[in-house]
Amino acid sequence: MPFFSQAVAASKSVQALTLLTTNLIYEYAPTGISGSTWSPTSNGSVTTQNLTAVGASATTSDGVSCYSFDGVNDYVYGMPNYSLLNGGDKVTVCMWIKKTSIDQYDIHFEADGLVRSQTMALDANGGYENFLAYKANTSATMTYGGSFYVQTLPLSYWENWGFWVFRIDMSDGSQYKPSLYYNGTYVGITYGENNTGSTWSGISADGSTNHKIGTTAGLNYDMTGHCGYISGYRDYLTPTQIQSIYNFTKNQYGFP
Amino acid sequence: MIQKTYFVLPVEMLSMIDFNTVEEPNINHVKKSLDGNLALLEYTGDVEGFGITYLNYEQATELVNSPEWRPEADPPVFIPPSF
Repeated sequence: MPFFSQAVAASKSVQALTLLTTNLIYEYAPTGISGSTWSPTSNGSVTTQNLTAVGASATTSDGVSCYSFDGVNDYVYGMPNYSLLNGGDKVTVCMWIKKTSIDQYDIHFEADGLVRSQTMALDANGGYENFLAYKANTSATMTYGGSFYVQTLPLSYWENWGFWVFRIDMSDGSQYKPSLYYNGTYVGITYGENNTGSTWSGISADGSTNHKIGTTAGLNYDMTGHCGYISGYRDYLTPTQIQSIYNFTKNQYGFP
Repeated sequence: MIQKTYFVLPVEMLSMIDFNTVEEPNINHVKKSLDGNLALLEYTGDVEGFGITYLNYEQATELVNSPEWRPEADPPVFIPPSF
C-alpha cells in the first residue's frame, strides 16, 4: 500500500479548526497528517471522511504539516458529498498554498469535474496572477484563448514565490470571485480585459468525479507545491468571516 | 523524499494493472495522454513489466508537460450561459 494511504488511514476524528462551522462542508486540518480529516457538515448533520491522496505525500514545510504535490499527477480528493454543491450555490473555499516552482497551471480547485479555478498562473507577459473558473455543462461552454480574471501582483511575487499564500475561491452564485492574502495583505479581484468571465452560475455537480485539489478533471494540469489548511463552505463568506479564518490560521504559516 | 517510479504503458494494458500496487486508486485516476492512447502510473518501489517504459521524476515531469499530454497553455474563456 502506498505510504500516504497508510498515513491517511490512520486519521482520527473530526478536528474543526475554525470557529465558522455553519455551512462548513469540509475542512482539512494539517496539524499533523495522522490527524488529518475532512469534516463535512450538512444542515447540522456532521459526518467524516478521510482525505485520499493520489501521489501527494505528507510532508512538513516551514514547520507546517501539509501535502506535497510534485507536479506529476499528485492531488487529493474525497469531498464526501458533492451534491452539497449545485449550480448556483454559494461557495467559498479557503486554502493555504505554497508554490515550489512557477508554472502556468499549478493550483487548481476542482469540484466534481465541472469547475476549475486557477491561480499562481504565470502569464506569458509575467507579473500576473490569473484566475479562472468555468462551468462545462449544457448551459455554459469553454473554449481556449483570451483572458479572463486577472489580478495583477507585484513582480516580486513571482520572484519570491516560495512562501505561503492564503487563497480564497468563492462564488455568490452568480460570480466567481477569487482573491488572496499576499504577504499578509488582502488582494481583491480585478477583472481582466475580457469581461466574459465575470458571470458564473456557480458550481455544478454531475457526480462523475470527486472534488479534487491539485489537478483538474482531466488530470491535465498539476500543481507543484504544498497545500496546507483547506476548508470549504456552502456559503458566500463575508470579508469579516474570511478575515477570521485567515487570522485563525496565519500564525503557523509565518504571518504573525 | 519518497522515490517514485513512473511508467508509461498503452491504455489497453490498464486492465492488467493491480491498482493496489500503484498510487492511483483505480482507472479513473490515471493520467492519460491527450490522444488517449497512453497512460502514466506512479509506483513507490520496484516494478517490472513487459511493454512498459519506466521514467524517473525528471523524465515524467517533462512528459506530462509535453504537448502530447498537456493541452494548450492559453487559458480557457468562460462563455456565459444564455437564459
